[in-house]
Amino acid sequence: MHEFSLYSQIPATRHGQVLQILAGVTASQPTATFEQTLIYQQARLAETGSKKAPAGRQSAVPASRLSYHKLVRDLKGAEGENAPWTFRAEDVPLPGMPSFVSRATTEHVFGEAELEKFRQGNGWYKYINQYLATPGHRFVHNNIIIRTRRILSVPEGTGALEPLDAPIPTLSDCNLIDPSGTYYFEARIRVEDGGNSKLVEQATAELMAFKKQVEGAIDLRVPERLAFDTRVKGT
Amino acid sequence: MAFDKSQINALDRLRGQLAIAAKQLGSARENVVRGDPLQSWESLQGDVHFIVQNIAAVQATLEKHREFLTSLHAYPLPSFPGHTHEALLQNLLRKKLDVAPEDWVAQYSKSDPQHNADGAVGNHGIDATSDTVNYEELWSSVAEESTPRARAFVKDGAFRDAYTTAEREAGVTTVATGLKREVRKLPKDGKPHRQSPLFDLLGFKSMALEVEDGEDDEDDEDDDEGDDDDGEEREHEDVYMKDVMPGDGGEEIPEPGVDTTLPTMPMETMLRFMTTGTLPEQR
Repeated sequence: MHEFSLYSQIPATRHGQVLQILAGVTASQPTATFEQTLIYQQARLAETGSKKAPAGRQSAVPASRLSYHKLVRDLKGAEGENAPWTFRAEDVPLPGMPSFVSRATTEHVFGEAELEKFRQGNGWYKYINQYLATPGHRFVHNNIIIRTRRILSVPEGTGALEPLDAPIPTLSDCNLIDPSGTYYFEARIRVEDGGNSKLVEQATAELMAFKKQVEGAIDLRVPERLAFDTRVKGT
Repeated sequence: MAFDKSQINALDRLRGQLAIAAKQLGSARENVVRGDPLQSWESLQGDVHFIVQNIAAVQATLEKHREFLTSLHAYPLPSFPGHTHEALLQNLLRKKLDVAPEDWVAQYSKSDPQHNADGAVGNHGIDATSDTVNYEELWSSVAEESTPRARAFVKDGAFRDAYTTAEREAGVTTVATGLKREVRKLPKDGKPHRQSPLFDLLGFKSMALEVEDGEDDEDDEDDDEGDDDDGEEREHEDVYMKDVMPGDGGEEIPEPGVDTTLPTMPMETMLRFMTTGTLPEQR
């Protein structure tokens, strides 16, 4: 699947105001979200190649294609701790796109069997880090998913247990990664098939229109492409 | 005659316009005199509008052919039956204005040099209506005149009540205001008298009417009303407001661990962390 996104930062003092603006624009109230993301590094290439970009480049791929993958779960839902994990793989964004970030991504909900790969000692993945995204809010506006959240880092101690199974870290122990308290804003559109140019055009047009609409209130921009680089360095 | 086509056209056009003007004025006059009661002001307004337009057209024509028209001179041909229609002849040839028009011309020509188009065809002189009515005076006098009236309104408490008399009679609760929240109950907080925001604007210092001179314009009043409302009553409104929004409301809630004075982390750093898990350097 292909994703087009734009980003922005919102200072803590403006957060309330921005939420109100978004509520006005989308004609809906925000849904509070609380996400936990685990970041893993591939230890070795998967044979099926399904964990990498679906573009199917696996044939002549050297080891430098090891990438970072994520497991995400939504802790706000009714299941809380037992919420299923979603696997997410992001590709490096396509170069030459000055107006938005365009990248191929894969997302699946993983069952127990696949999650095994992520546990320690299985050699497929190496756990790197994790973060919590809370407080967070989400709006859906036509086809655009808009999210604002703060990123918190998780205290060290939880590394002892398998992070997949560990209890949710207590919020009071977690520190903001960005001590200034800025919220991170993302507007994203997903297209099932990145090759369908008509869809792609429609999606990008919608994203750009949204950017225009909130211009002045929220300045959406394209961060440096390499900040999204999921390739593991040095391999 | 030694006139060329355009000049003759000009004369004709002028004649037509003047005829129309005369007709309009006549009919307007009839309406006003005959109407019982006086006809609706919209039709009066419409009539006036047409008349003004027409006169403007006449003026335009005059202006265009000014040289030609001012140098015209009418004289009768010998074949004109001067004996039988002497009065008519006198009328046609008269150039002197009547008393009243002459006075008007004198009065309005003071401000502008208006050419007095006493065309060869005119029965009476046309007074060139001056366009430069003094609007400045008019506007500034409005403020002075209406402020005392507005003051009287406020003094009598016309704006104090949130409901009209009719609504009060029918019962305040039945009024469909369209408001979803309690805006502001009448204050029981013991303030001696809740001042209307208009008070300050109109120069009232306190309930005892001390009227200031040289008050501000009416134009600003609408804008100022909003501002005054903010200062005085905003606190009360917030108490009753129930919103779904997370209540950041404009107040700074100090959160532990958040120091908003620190510079924002560059977005790339944060994104890099979110992608690769490499923490940015801790401060």
